[in-house]
Amino acid sequence: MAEHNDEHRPRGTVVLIYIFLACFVIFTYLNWKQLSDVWTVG
Amino acid sequence: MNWKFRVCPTTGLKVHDSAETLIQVNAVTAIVFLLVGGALALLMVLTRWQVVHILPADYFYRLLTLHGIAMLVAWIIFFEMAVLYFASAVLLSHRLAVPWLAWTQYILMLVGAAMVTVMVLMGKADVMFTSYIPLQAHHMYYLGVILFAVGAILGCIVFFATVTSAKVEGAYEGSLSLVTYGAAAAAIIAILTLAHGAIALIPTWLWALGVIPMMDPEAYILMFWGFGHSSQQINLCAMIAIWYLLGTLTVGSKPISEKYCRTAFLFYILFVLIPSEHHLLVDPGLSAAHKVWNTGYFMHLAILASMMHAFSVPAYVEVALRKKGYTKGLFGWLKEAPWGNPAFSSLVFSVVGFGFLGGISGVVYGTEQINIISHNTLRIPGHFHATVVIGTTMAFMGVTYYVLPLIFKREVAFPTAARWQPYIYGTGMTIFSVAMMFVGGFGVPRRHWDITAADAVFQLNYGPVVNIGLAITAIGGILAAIGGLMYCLIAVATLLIGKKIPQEA
Repeated sequence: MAEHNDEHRPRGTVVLIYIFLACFVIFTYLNWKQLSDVWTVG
Repeated sequence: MNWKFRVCPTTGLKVHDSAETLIQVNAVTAIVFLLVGGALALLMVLTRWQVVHILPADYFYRLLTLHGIAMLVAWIIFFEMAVLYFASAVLLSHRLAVPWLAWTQYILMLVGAAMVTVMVLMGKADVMFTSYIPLQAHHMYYLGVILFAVGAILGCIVFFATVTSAKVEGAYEGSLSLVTYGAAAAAIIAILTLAHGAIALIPTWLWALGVIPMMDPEAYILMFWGFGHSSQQINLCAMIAIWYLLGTLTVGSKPISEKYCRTAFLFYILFVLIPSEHHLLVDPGLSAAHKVWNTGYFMHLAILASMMHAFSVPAYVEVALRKKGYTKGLFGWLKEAPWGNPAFSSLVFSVVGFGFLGGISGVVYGTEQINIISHNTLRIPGHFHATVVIGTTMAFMGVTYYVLPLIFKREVAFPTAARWQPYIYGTGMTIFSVAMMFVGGFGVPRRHWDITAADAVFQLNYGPVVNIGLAITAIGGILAAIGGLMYCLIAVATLLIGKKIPQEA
């Protein structure tokens, strides 16, 4: 990364990665929520 | 020996005539199977759309079997053979080693695929893609699969022989290029995968012949998925190698760190066979602890590799575009990207569809607990249509727009249609996959002709939301079929009427 100046840093990609992680969290939550609804404990 | 080469006027790559012919025949055969599989896909979606329900039950299962084989096996592996020859002989500007062996590969795979197709169409192999024991097909069906797999192994051997002779004869120095390295990772996984296939299918063939009296279903399913799922990891590696190639061809980008990318490919080789066992998560043969370790821990090492690539590819596209002066804000580079180039738009659909839809859903559905409620539902086909179709198929489609001028020496026909094709196909498949996962969330089963169970004692009613979801699934599928047909027509028209590109010998 050292040869890139600041203008060339992939800052947009970093934001896309955070959007990806947010989607990951939401999708995981929804699936575990559904599982907990149909497969109750106790 | 005098080897016959020509030099591509655009890329400057030396192309060996045998490599060129073999890439052409494998790629054309792949596209023929894509056309067949696509036509069958249309019949599938028009049957799963409960209001239309076009096929009777026996034809639905028969043609679904053939759809799986034509798309998941024949289209993709024939195209991968073309990719292996391209990534070795063409990218290394070297001769294709042992062309007769490469022709044997092609003939074996063609004969094998033809045998399987005929057996399925004759109604002698209504066993679905998985052919789980105790379902039994005609022995010629299994022999066809075995011949196809042996052919694919020969293709991998030709690839390694070509890379080795290129090294020995000084065609390249130092490390392999990243694309060839990725193709090598795909070929290594292919050999491991096909070994599993041999262990699963040779005894099954003997069982179908009556030589072996019985088969253990649990052992079969374990070995089958070492073959069936791992073969998708060959696609995965080939797809990612193509991502790097398309990044270079479309925006002139170079990987930010080759070591980083090569490490991710190494992770695939080391860990990618392990997740195959997620197909056995609802089977009683493995212990709960084994399943949890497998899908809760080891599987993530392979997923890590995918996430490394999924970060690397957009990052190096962004850096390349920023270096061209598109530095405005966070996403100015994205706005100025070559969206009219079908190879670039295919690349973006492939990366986003694979990562956001296929990747996230795969990790979640592959978790043991979630798998309990998702395993036999439409969520799973929704997931793998995102990975294999939006991901792999769109990457293959994208690279075709460069292979046509380079290998077939013709300009792409109907360029306006070609610009639209990835958008129509990608949008259709995105709607299709998301809608499938949505209705699967309501428990709609996969591989099922009639979800209302009309002739059963107990009738099922999933409610209007599911009916609307299935209609949207079908609409997405029809749109994708149109995009797929456009791709096939553009490719065929290019071969037949595309303007010839002058070459130098």
